[in-house]
Order: sequence, then structure tokens, then C-alpha cells
Amino acid sequence: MKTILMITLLAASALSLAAQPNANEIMKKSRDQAKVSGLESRTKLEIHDGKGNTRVRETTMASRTFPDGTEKRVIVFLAPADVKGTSMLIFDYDKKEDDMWVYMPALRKSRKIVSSEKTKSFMGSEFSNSDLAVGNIDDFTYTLDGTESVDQQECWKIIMLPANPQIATDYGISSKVTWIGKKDYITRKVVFLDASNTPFKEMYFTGIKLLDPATQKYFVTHMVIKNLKNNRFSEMNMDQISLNKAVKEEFFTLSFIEKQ
Amino acid sequence: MFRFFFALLACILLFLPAKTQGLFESGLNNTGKNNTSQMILSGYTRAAGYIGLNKETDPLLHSLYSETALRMKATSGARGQAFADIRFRTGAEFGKAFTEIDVREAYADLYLGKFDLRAGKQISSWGRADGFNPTDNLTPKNYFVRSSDPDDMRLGNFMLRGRLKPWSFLIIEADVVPWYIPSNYRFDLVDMPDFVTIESPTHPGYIWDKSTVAAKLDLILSAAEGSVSWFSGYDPMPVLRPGALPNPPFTDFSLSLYQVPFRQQTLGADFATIILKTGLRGEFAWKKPIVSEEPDPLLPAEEIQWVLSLDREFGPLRLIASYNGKFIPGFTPADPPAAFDPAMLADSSLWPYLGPMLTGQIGNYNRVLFDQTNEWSHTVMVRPSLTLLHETLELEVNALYNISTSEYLLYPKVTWHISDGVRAEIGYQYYEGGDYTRFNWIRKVFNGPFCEIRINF
Repeated sequence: MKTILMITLLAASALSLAAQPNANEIMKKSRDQAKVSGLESRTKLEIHDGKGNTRVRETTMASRTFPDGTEKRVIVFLAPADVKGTSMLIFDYDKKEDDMWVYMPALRKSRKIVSSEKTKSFMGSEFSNSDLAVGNIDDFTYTLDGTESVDQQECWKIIMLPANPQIATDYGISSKVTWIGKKDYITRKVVFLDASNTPFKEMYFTGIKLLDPATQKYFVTHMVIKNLKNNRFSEMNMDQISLNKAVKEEFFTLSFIEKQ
Repeated sequence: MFRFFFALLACILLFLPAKTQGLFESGLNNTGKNNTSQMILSGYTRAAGYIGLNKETDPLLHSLYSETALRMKATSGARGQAFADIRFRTGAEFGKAFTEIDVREAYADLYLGKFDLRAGKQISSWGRADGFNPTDNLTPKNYFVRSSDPDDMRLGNFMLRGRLKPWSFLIIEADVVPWYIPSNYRFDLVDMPDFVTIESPTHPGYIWDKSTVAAKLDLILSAAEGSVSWFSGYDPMPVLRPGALPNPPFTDFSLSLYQVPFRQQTLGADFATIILKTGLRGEFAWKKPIVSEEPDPLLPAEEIQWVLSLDREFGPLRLIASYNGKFIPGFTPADPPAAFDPAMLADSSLWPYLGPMLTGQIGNYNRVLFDQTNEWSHTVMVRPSLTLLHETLELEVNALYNISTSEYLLYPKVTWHISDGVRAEIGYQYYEGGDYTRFNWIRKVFNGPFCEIRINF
């Protein structure tokens, strides 16, 4: 009788494990969900210093995924006035370091820059460059740590550990915990842990919109990141967003960013 | 001719079909609306003060001025764009009051698919290296502008620029400069003998038959990018030439020096790549003055110049280092200019030698001006900059040392971004060099602290 009970319990456990995808599959689906063939948006970045002062950066952005899997992005700064006209061109490759160029009106020429400064702050905000990039899936190992509810949405809770110490140094973290919606595979929350395994940043994703009902593409339009050590926080709000498979190829050229 | 050209350009723009814009393009027009024609106004107002601390210099406050820049960009669908940068300045520069309006740039762009055309007064900037750009010869420069923004050194010039982009990785550029504008070098502020008068630059006028022409081919690949270029025409920096000598006897001896443009050919190349998280850039130029007759001792010699620069970020610290080398083939050493006293002309036996002697003297000044006093010269530049307090405070030092002439520059600067669009800067420029060096010429008028408050809009 005990043997039958044991077999039944093991079978039930195995069925339960088979029912839920593993962490790698969830992450891959989540990344695929974020991929679109073409996108245009206007974004407002608000940087709050925790003392009531706010700085605002506005950008317009276009991206397009090409048949070889390369996602090309062009970002043009619209405000404030002292960075207006500054433009970035990014070629995001799956298998190698990104190519990145920046055009600054005062220099009057585009400049190829190193794209690997993952911990560097994005425009003085609490977002780092890596927080806003898709990143290489092999940079981390993933472990499913059950399910939790975030914003009344049932989510997978996944522990992300850097694949090696160098990657940990590059990202400036010891680990990340990510909550991904079970229904739409959209990331809802990320907590960043420092070298002493203490949370130091929290990022929340809200304003999730269904952009393309045909392909069930959802998109995050509002991100907030909080620095738990100094109370600074930054918000990124995509106030306008549209899918556009036919984003012009000429946008993703140095000639184009040098026109701005 | 220009009037005809602009009329033609306007007609072409008028009859090209307007295209509707997507969200991204309408965002560029800063409206968010799907309009095809927009005008955007931006600019800044700043107040700047440069203080001279050299005991020999009077007045103490060299330059104090206010400036407003108005930048207008008008787009006409995806086919054309017009841009103007107009500067209104008032104050005192190097102790002299002034009020001026400068149309720094005013040009029209025409976009015809893979071909772009830009016509009008514009600024061109060539060269991928940091600190030194020997291939950058199209745009004249104001070497005596009092501004902490290096771009303010560039002067607009009338040009016609065409760019063909057959593929995204290839850009072929051709330029024509039919109107010569010289670089500005304030010889009147440089110590010269009392009997010398510096005249305004001579101007060849419209030079359709001898236009400056240039071409560049840019190749942009993922691993590296670079260009090869060619320039033939008037070098923006004129040479000094003596006017007619007075007839003997030389009572009240005086000499006028003219700034005269000369033609030059330049072959150039540059590259940029990323290796081990470090930006590596280089530039090369071979320059040869065009001499129609016999060798001209007042012209700069043929030269070969090369630049290698690195840039790397270490967290908030960014380091740019650059090396600039120069070689003069067939270099002939020359003694530094000897002191010339017109009193010696009382000896009539010296009169036949006066012309060659003055030519030699002025030729030496030109050698200093074009940095050709050594067969080989080596200059290093280091620029560390630190960004702190969430990118609101920038500390920067620009240090330059010419190993061959022992000239050096120390230029620390602090920039505080007080709020969006508002910034304050303080800094100090310190040039030093031995006799008959450029930095020795300018140190008296440049050395000292400065401050600037600027509001962008």
C-alpha cells in the first residue's frame, strides 16, 4: 500500500513539474514577447532626486528587427534643450557585442562608442544601460522559485544568477529576481541584489497595453525604478507607441542620425 | 549664381511630393503630429567673462560678452530641411567693445533618396581622431574665439555638399567651396616689431575657376569604419607675406604684412574601431602646397601628419589620449628670427639684403604658425573627465604637450548642470612656450580664468 502511495505521489509530482515550464523557457518566451518587427515611440524619462527636484528627458525612438535577428534602434533626444539633437544608433546582435554610435550636434559627427558599459547610468537616471537592453540570454542562469502575485497578476518568480563572476562585475549585481506574468509573459517587477545580497534597486513595469491583437503582442508603457539606498527614482513613460513593420531602413544609418 | 541655385532648389522642393510621417518622424519635429512641414526654434543665451592674469597685459578683463544664438530648423516633409544659426553678440573682446550679428550657418538640405544635397553657409567637420584632425580643412576656424565650447571655433563657409549613399555602409561625399573665408588669427594681439602693421586677410573673391574641391569616401562596417579623402584648394589658414618695401633711404621704416591665402592638396584617411572595450581612432594626412613657379619660402612645406587616439571609460571617469606626429620631408633647418632693428638700415651696404632678410624672417613666422619648426614633431594630449552627482557635475582637464617645441597647455574646466538647460562653467587656460612658439604668442591674451552661465532653450 505504501509503495502504491509513494508511486502515486511521485507521479503527481512529476505531472505537476511537467505542467509548468522551466525557467529558461519562461525567460525565452518573455524575450520573444518583447520582440517586435518594427516599433516607433515617444518616451519621457523623469529623474526624481528624492528631494522634490525632477529632470526630464524626452526621446523619440524607432526600432526594427531584421531577418538576421539584428534589432536596430535609433533614439533621438528631443529635450532638454542642452541635449536636443543628440542621437544614438544601436545594432543589437544576438551573438556579439552591440554596435553603438552617438551623434552630438556640438561634435558635428557621429562617433562609434563602446557599448559594454552595462552599469553606466542612462542619462543620469537610476536606469543603467543594461536595465534598458534585452541583453544576452546566456549571461544568466535561471531558476524558477514558485509563483507570486504582482499587481494582481499571477507571476513566475525567477532567480537570475550571473553565469560567471565577470558578468556579475559587468552588470554590477550578485543576482536579480524577476517576476514574469503567467498569462502574457510580460516582466512585472525586477529586484536587483548587490554583492552582499541586499536589494538595492527595484524596477516595476506597468501600463501594459495590447498593441497587436493578431499576434497577442503586449507592451510595457511605464517603467519605474527605485534606488533603495538613496530614495532616488526614475520613471520612463512611453506616451505614444505604435507598431510599424515598415519602419524605414534609412533611419538606421549614420547619415540619418547626422541629419538631426 | 547662388541666387539662381537657391531658386532652383526652392522649385525642386516645392514640386516634390510631400510624404506623411510616422510617429518617429513626427517626434523629430517635436509636435507628435503627422504634419509634413514644421519649424523648430531653439538656441541659448550666455554670459561669459575671461580674465587676464598676466602682469604685462592690460586691461585685466580681456573679454566680457553676452551672446544669444537662435537656431531655426524648418522641415518640408521628408524631402528637405532648412537650418539657420544666427548669433547676436555684444560686449568687449580683448579689451575692445563690439556688437555684432553673425549668420553662422544658413543652408538648405535636399533629400533625394540615396542622394543628399546641402547648399549654403555651413560647417563641415572631417576626421575621426580626437584632439587633432589634419583632414579637417574645409571649415575655417576662429583661433581667438573666447568660448568654452570648441565648436564655436568653427566658422561657417559657403559650400555645396553632395552625399551619395548607394548602400548603408558606404557614403561618397563631394564638396565645392566657391567663396574663400580665412581662418581668424589675431596677429594684432601677437607681439610684433613696432614697424610691422598686420593687414586684413586678402580675399580672392568668387573663385569659380579655382574653387576649393574635396571628396571623401566613408566605409562603415560593424568591426571598423574609416574614410579616405582628398582636398584641393585654399587652405583656411593664410600665410603672412610682406607688402612692398619702402624705397631707400629708410627713414621711418614700416612694413605691412598681408594674410594671403594659398592653395594646397591634401590626401587623408581615418579610421575608428573598438578593441578590448577601448575606442581606437586614427587619422593621416599628406599635405602639399600647390606651387606654380619656383619654391616659395613663405609657404608651408609639404608635410605628413598622423594621429592615434584612444578613449576608454572607467565608470564615471572617461579618458581620451591622443598622439599627433608630423614629418616634413626635405626639411631645411632655419635659425629663429633674429631681432631686426630698422636703425641698422643707416648702413646702406645692407640695403640689397633687406628683401631676402625680411622674407626669411616672415618665413620663420609662417613656420611657427604652421607648426613646421622641426623635421619631426610629436605632440601628446590627455583629457580625463569625471562625471559626478548623477551627471550634473563634470570635471575635465585638457593637457597638451608638444615634445618637440616644449609648448604646453593646461585647461581644467568644471561644468555644473544646475537644472535642465541651465549650466555654469568655470575654468582656466594656461598656455606656455619658449620664444617663437605659437603658445608663447598667445599666452599673454589667453592665460587666465573664465566663467560662463548659459541657458539653453
